[in-house]
Amino acid sequence: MIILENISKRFGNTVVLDRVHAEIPLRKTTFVLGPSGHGKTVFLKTSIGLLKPDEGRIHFEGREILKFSEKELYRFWTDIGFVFQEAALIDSLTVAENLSLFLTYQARLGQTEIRSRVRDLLAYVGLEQMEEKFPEELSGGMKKRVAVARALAKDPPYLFIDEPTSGIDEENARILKDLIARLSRQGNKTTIIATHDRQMMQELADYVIFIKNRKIPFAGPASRIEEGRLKDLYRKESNER
Amino acid sequence: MDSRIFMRNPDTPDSIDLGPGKSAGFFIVFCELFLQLVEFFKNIPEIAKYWAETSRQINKHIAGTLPLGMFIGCFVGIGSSLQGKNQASIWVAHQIIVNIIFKYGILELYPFILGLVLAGKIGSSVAAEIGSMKITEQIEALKTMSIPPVGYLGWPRVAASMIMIPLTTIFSDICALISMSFVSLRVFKWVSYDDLIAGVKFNFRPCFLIIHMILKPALYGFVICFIGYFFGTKARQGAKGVGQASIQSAVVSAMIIIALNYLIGELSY
Repeated sequence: MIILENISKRFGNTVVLDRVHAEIPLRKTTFVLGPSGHGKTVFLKTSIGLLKPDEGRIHFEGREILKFSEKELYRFWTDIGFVFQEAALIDSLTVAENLSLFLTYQARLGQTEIRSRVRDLLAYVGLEQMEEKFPEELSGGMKKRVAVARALAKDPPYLFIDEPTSGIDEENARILKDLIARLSRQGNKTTIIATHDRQMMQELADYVIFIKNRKIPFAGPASRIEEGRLKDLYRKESNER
Repeated sequence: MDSRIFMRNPDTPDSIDLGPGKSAGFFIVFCELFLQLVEFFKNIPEIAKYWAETSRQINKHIAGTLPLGMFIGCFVGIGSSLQGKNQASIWVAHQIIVNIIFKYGILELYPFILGLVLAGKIGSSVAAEIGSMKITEQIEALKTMSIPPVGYLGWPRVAASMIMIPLTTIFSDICALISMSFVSLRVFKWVSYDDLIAGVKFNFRPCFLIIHMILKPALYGFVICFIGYFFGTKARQGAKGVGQASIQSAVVSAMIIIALNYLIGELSY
């Protein structure tokens, strides 16, 4: 279980998360929902210690990650795959170099093995011919697919994906959904996805966390959240606007 | 009340505001710089691990910095020769004039001018590069791949600068010496060959060359890239923030170089 205990996070005077509590089941697919600008990305980044919360504790299968030294934190991140909202590929490196960063510097594999792994990963996300391209030569959707491949390069037990289908064309969104569905079905990864895509949530979610107004008004199994309740949570937000 | 939470860029929440007239003062910047310096020294063992990246940065220097250094050396050398010609008179031994412009040029002026030019060129480019990586989450992406940004981005740039700026200074000094000698002997003809050699040899101490042509530029290299990296990692608010980081980096590293130039001079003589 991943437990976020009374987590608060503020930027200057703006409180983004206010003593939120969440328990994320292992080897399940958890969806983090909520209106834009209400802290889904911050929730994801705080969950793995990429952002330091102002208060609270985070337990990853019994390990309290906020007590980790910097070295331990870097070691812990070898277990984490993170797909950023804008892909965040290193723009001075080619696609193949992006995918081989972890394999070269952390896994310390040989060049032949790295090349073969890179080819497999690109085949997995359906971008076989893109090895030598630079990120600027790819569309937004392709970048996200490369980012997924990069996150999977280390075969992490925990996978965090921030807005996988937002701002990209339908074709790439469909491919990404299929990819995530495949990962979900494998059932050996704890996958946490922040998204607006309710349809994807309904198809794939085992567990749902809804973030709104700094709090978590709903967290529980996906089977317990009905469409009506979800609409209600979103509607309240638009009324308040 | 508007229920939406209007956040600043959540990816740069811990950065301090370094903009002019803003609340963060000099003291906070100084503390942040010190902490960054400590982090750099903690990551010294990473230099060997990311040597490939350092080589890539060295190649960038060879293409961009060496020709610039040679250009500066040639023209500053000619300028020095012109100054020597203007000072030359029957009342002052030409050997002394050569000795002064040689020493002042090689030991002080050329490394100093080169340092200032490179503070603008390399420092601002490092700040802009790191700054745009920061605002596009690439630095966080490196962390999630368990690659420390100081090791992968910081040290390779600093190490490349510490190797290449002394090398550029040596090339620049050689160019300056050649151009100064050629112009003095063949164009302005204000000094004889024997006076030139005697002037250069007079009170010549090789240890000064090591300090001012190698150690001092290496220190400049560290300052330029370290300051560029520091301000780059503090960039925020998009392109404007990157521009600001770039300017701050050039100005602060130039100021440090001016102070260091005096301090090293004071200590070495």
